[in-house]
Amino acid sequence: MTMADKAKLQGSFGSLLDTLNNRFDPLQPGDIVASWTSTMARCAACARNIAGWDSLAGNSAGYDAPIEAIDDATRALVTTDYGDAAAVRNALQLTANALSELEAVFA
Amino acid sequence: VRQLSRIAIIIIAGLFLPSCGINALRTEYAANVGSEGTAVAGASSAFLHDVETSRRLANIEMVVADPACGSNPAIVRGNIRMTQAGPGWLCVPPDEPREPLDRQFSLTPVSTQIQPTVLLVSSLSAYTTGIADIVDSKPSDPMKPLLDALETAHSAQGLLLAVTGGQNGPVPAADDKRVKAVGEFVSFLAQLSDEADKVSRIRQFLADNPDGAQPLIDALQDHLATWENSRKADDGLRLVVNGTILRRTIDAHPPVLPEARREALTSFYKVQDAVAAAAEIYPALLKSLADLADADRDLRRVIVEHPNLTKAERAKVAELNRQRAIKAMDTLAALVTSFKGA
Repeated sequence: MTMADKAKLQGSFGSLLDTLNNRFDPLQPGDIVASWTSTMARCAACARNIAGWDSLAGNSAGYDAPIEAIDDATRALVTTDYGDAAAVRNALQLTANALSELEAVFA
Repeated sequence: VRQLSRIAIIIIAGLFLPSCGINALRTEYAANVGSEGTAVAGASSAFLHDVETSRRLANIEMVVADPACGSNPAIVRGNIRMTQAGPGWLCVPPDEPREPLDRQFSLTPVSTQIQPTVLLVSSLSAYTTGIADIVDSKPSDPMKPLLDALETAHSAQGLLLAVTGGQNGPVPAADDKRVKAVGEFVSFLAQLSDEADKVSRIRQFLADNPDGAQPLIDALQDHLATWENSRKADDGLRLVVNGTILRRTIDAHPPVLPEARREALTSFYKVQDAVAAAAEIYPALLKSLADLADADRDLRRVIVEHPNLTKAERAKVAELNRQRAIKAMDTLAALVTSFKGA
């Protein structure tokens, strides 16, 4: 079992945020724009939890699963064909799952 | 004159020249710590100000988009109601029950949370300023005691000549070539002595701060990574909420006027440009922090008695020593020449 460090978790989350910012397109169908917005609000709630981030240990095996899930979601958002609405919805679902993993770190 | 030459050579060669090149390198590296510290402090303040601004702009975007988001904490809908015209499309109004996917969202500004990070920046700044103050300290004028003594001697000589009725005394004028040569010699020695004194004070400062800047830099990097994600998320939220308003404007029934769509799309592109520009600050700040860490490491490496210098540093020290040896010989020659036939 590896002991991922906090900086890696911060970095993975940062890359996800970059991707969500860069890939957002308001000209996508309304349900995708709505889902993207609630995903972003969920990310922002996580990022605004400064006390939670400050209290995280420098290393923890508990970071492995969220890092992997976040990286997978980021990859999906980057590689998705944005002309394929179903694929975009799937990438957003992966992101929602990854955020659940991240939120569990603070629980 | 021969005795004067011998004394001057002994002073220069024995006391100062052997370590003068390396001392110049040491004070240069200490100055680098000071200047990199100033850069980090400035960049950190600018970055934290941007973090605060991003939080406010995201909050403004939310509350402007939907008055139901206007209480703290807001409850953001898990399923945003894109086609609902009135308030409550983005956030759950206070009088409405929450659904399972709805989430609490804090609108608290960052002002109080940012204080520990500000304190870290101040601590790092105090460390680098302490080193910069030593480097920038001005030595006292080395010629002042000599000129003061000459002035006193001149007064005494004037009194003596008035009493004896004589013409010329033994005390030279302040612009005498011998006084000028001595002055240059003293200034040269004072410069070397001042450098050695600064190195000694820097050594003491570093001994009093044995861990150096690195622990503060590590802690600051951790804080800044958290704040950078906060900024990214706030900027992203601002962008996405603005884009959602655009989507709603496009989909409105009955259709809104073309000018309203133009305004919504223009607003979105403006926010997009602003968000992209804000993303450039953090990488520059990280670069400044890395430069400061390098500068501090370099200073601690060369400040010891027998430092392990790189090839480039050895060449630089050798060149500095060569230049100073030439200056020492020139100053010495001018001193000896000025006293010949005096």
